[in-house]
Amino acid sequence: MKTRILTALAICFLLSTAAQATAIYTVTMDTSALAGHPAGPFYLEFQLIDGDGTGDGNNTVVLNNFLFGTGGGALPGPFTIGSVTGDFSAGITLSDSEFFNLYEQGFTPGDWLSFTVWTTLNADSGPTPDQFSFAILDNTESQLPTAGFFDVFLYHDLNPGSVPQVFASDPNRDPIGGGTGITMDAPTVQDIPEPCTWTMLLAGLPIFAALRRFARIRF
Amino acid sequence: MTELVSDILLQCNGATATPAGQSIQRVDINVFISPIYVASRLLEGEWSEALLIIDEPDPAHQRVCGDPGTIEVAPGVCDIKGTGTGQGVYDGSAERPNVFQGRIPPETIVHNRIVWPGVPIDGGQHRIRITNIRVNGIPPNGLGLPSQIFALVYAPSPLTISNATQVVAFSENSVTTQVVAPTTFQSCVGQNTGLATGAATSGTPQLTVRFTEQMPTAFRKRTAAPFVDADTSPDPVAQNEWRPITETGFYNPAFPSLPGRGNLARAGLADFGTRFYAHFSNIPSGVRLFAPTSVASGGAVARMIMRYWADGSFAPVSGNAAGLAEITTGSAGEAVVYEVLEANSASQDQFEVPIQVAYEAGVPAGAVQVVLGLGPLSTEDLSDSLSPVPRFKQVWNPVPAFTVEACAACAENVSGRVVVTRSGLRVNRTTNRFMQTITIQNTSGATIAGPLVLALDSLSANATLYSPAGTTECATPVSPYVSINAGADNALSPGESVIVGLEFLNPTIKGITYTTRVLAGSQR
Repeated sequence: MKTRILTALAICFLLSTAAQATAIYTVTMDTSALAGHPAGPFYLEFQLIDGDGTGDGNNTVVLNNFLFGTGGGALPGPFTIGSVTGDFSAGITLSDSEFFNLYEQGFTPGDWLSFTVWTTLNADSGPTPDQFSFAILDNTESQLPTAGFFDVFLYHDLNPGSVPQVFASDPNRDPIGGGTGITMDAPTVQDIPEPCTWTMLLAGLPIFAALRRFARIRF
Repeated sequence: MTELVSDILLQCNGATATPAGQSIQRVDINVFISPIYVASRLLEGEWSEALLIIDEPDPAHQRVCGDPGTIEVAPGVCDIKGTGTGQGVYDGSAERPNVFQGRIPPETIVHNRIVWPGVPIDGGQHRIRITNIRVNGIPPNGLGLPSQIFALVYAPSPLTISNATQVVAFSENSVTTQVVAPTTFQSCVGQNTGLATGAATSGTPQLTVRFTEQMPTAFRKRTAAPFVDADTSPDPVAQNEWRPITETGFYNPAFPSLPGRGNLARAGLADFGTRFYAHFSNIPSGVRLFAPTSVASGGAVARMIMRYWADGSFAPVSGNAAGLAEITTGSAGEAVVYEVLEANSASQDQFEVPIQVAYEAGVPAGAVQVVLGLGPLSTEDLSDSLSPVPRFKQVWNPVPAFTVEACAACAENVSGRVVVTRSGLRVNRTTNRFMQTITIQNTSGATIAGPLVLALDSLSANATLYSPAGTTECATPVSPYVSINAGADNALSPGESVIVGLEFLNPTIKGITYTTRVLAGSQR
């Protein structure tokens, strides 16, 4: 029996070396302070920058399940740079197959905002990782200031095992004033099963089945 | 030491004109100078450039006693016949000279007397002008007020002179000098290296030497000849009286050269305009100094003329394409000399000479001094025939110019004792700059003392570090760096981390690459 389990795990390992590290999390924000604010319209802005600058395309970020809360919604758009496809309704995919990749689209703030982020976590060849970041722009396309160095609400260096960093708006620099009311729930990072795990489960069943039959026969 | 005093004017009145055809009575006219020496140039022997002129003839009618056509009864003494009316006695026609040369008697030990022997003085209305008397300057009095220089005019009977003692000059400090912003350089940090190696024709001046008039007429050009340009000392022109903007007094180039009395065409003529100099000493080997070939102050202009002591004729120094010339080695140091070609007598001028110090890193240390003043320098304070006019007493007062300090050891590369972790990049949509954070952690077992900086080596050509704190020069390679705030103790303890923010300009939006170098120490 031990021999059969080891055989199944070995098969799983071979399969996992071909799979990718990933993370998925949900972003939720209270945007009620922005609703009807004269500094609007506002824009959701996402950047994916390739760390080593080669456009190696080793990381992908998928954004979907956009919800804008009561009174909110998407405005016509979007504006993109680089390797970006989709929109709020269909979902947005950013790839670092170019150095600088950007998605920007206007929205009408409701009382809250939510979207899901699915991202790969592959290290780049150089010392600078790929980075995904999220900011809100005002009607001058300036970033609403936050407590972080980058003036973003979220940034994520896409290294294996890494988690996103989140920041609240900066009440001392926030020209919106009411932006102090913006908060972000701590994203829930889920380790989605490695493809090799499913493969192991799926592949192991017939192997076990075969072994069991074999044993029975011998016996 | 050869300052022209005011001309002395004697207005003669009364007495009866000598009858026509009769020799006019002659008298010796003496001028005593106090409390200083006479320094008028000797043209030959005891005969000087000091002149006595009767009845203000224009240049075309000036005739020197001793000139062919005059009746010279003794050296410098002429017989003139009366006209009976006193008119036309000194009209400059044949046998009627009107210019007489003074002599400084050798028996005068203290050289304070000039005598015009046997001057024919006719009755009637005549004006006598005594000119080209040069004296040494004297310091201001104990109260800081200008000192007075007197002239006593004496003649024996029957000539009587009223108000014989006159103040002919005030002596005061004429020019102040100053080194503006004496500077300290580091021997390991090159200065104006392009200029030092010849790769560039100009750099940046780091200090200035300043010469400031304390009176509007301290800086004087040679003669009243109109200014031509900054490269030309114009030929001297006749001057019928001394003008305070010139070093030359009464001057007529048409005067003759007389045997035993010298060339009177040199009487009153200065050899050059006012010259001022900066003499540098104790210059470390490999350090070069450059100055502009001309400087200006309002309407005044001065030209760099030679690289040695300021004797000799006008010889402008050639500059490079940027108008700079190197200050090269003179006697026991490096000196730059300028001559005034145009002066502004209506206001006090100030010549500022910007100095460019140029050297490559690695020169020895040294404290450079400079002596500033008017030149040429001389110890000859009496009349003579060889010394230049003007000339100035040597007052050797070196002051600090600049210092080349030995460098402390270059900052230590402590990259092997830390771990440097970079974040990804983000474009700030407000500033359009690429932003990144760097986390630096001390992974060694010992504290790393600051000051600490993070240098970015081999930064890709498409990117520029925004607002760097400086550029490494001592700790090569040459790279931009940012300061690391290591806290109140200015040190990284074992295990301690700091975060540094970087911003880049990247207008072509291409990848940004570089390697990091953490330096500890102040000499970067």
